[in-house]
Amino acid sequence: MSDDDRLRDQLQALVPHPPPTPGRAAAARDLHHRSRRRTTVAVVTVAAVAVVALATAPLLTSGDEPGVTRPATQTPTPTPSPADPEAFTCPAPRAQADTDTVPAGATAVHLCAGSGTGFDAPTDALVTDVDELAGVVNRQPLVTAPGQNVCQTDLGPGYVLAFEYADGSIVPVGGDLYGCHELRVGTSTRGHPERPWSRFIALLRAQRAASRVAPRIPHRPACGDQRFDTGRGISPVAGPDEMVAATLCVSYQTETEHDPQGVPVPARDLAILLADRASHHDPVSTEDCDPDTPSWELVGATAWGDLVTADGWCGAWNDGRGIGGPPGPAAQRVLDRLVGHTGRPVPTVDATSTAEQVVAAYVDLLNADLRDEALALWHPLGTPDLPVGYGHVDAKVESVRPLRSISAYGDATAVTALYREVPPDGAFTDYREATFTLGRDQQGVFRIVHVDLGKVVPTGR
Amino acid sequence: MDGVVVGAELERAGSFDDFVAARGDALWRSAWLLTGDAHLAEDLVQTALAKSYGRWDRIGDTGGFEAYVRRTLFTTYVSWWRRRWNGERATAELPETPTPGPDLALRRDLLAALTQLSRGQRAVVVLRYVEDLTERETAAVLGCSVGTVKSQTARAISALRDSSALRDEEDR
Repeated sequence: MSDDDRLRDQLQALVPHPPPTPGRAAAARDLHHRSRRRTTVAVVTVAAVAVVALATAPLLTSGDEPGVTRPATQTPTPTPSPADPEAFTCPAPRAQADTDTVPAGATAVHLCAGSGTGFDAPTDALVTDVDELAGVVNRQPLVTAPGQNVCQTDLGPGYVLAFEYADGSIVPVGGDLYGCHELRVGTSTRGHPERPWSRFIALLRAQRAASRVAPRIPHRPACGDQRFDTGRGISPVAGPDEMVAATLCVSYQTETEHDPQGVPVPARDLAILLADRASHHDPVSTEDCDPDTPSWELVGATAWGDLVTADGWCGAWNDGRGIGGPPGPAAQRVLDRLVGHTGRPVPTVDATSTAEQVVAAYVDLLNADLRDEALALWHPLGTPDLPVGYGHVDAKVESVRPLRSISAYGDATAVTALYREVPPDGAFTDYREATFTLGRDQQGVFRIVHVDLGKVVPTGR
Repeated sequence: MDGVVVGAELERAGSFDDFVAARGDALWRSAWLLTGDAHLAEDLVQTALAKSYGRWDRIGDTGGFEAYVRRTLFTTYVSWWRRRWNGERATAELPETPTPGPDLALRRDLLAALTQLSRGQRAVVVLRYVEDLTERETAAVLGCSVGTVKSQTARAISALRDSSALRDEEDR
């Protein structure tokens, strides 16, 4: 028997029989609830309540030690492993703690959304170099008269860095990357919120790079998962070049609305596309897009679960700052194949469609070379007059008005639009003022009765 | 409402109770080796369970939850011991319920040797020799480097070998 085995056996034998403890689970739950109540009430308070709370309650209280305020110099042992970032509940954007500096010894820092434009917070927490980040916060200069400055009302992201301690307490640090650019710790206001923000991002990226923990296999996102109005899909930590699973979302610049068509991107294709995207460094054109040209967007996830996107509006990469360009031959072949899987959306009309929607569907069907379907949008009593020899058709609806004089057609309606038929070579073509006359058929669906191409409308070249 | 399980908690509380019933004693054994005292061990177990209870829904009835509780137990012990039980009872008294095993005097000596270890050293010993964790796993639980685990283990083993319990055992 080795020394290690002997020690192991002796330690095991040393332990007495556990006493019967039937109420252990209930006692633990009870302790959990009492601890949570104390934490909720005393540790983190909403700013609006903080003024009262600061005067009456000791804050930053340990969950197990009611009434004990954490001194700023206390340094609990770092315990990165128990941090379960996905279970972390972010404090309110204006949450406040009773300390004007960030105490050393936090075990984890979570980035949360604050007040301002939204972004996608990473799901993993920073557990390395946490004290360094606390130092960055504490070194920022105090603002002498916060709240009295007149600042631009620009808009940008707001964030909360939630420093989590081993006893479960939280010290939130709020930062506004807009307006007065304030950094808030407790009741103190500091400047330069960009510095902790950028340092957190750099440290988290370094932590990820050094991590030996195999990142999880992310769920492949779907078209529509990104929501730029809420910040979903805007990651401050990761970029689209880091996506490891993606869906190609294809759409066309059509008159009718349609959801992007999604197709999963195989890993090898994704590698080709991302390498091609990274090779573009020149400004990309943002002119009007030919309706025959598909636009696409890669909606992907990184190995750490960040949702990221790569824009291919009108068939060319665009990094959002105007840099990009058409894909190279290899990437274009991949895109052509993937786009081929999605197909082009075919607009349909029914009795609920408005006259304007029927005109839009007609134009889209013409541009998709679906002439039979376009023909079907003509009224049985009308004389179809489909354009010929065009490359694509543009129509910009300007007005819709009812026509009382054509009583033979139910709900006779005139739709006027700037209209042109662009030749296949794309040569410049003037718009004309077109009037589409529509009436309902026996099924109650608006159909086209007549199209009158009026005078040329000078729009310049 | 303290101690009362309400509404949607009933279902998860049932599962949590099952977990505690199944694994609570094993956790208590580790806690006892850390504290050397039955009451403090129970206190430590309940603290770790209470801190982990909120994660039950996320982690669930898998080995992952037990691992989480164990990590919490050890980090709570290492981080809070001095504050929570200031005037720690470094007792060498024998447990209230003796168990069959080595000679009583030898066990007393080993327990006395354990109480001479620092909290970190005792935690390392229990994790390495009772929980059977690797050096890397031990470092992950305690939030320190593998090098620290190595040095703490070496010092702890050296101290324990000076105890009559192990010396006598080796002499046999």
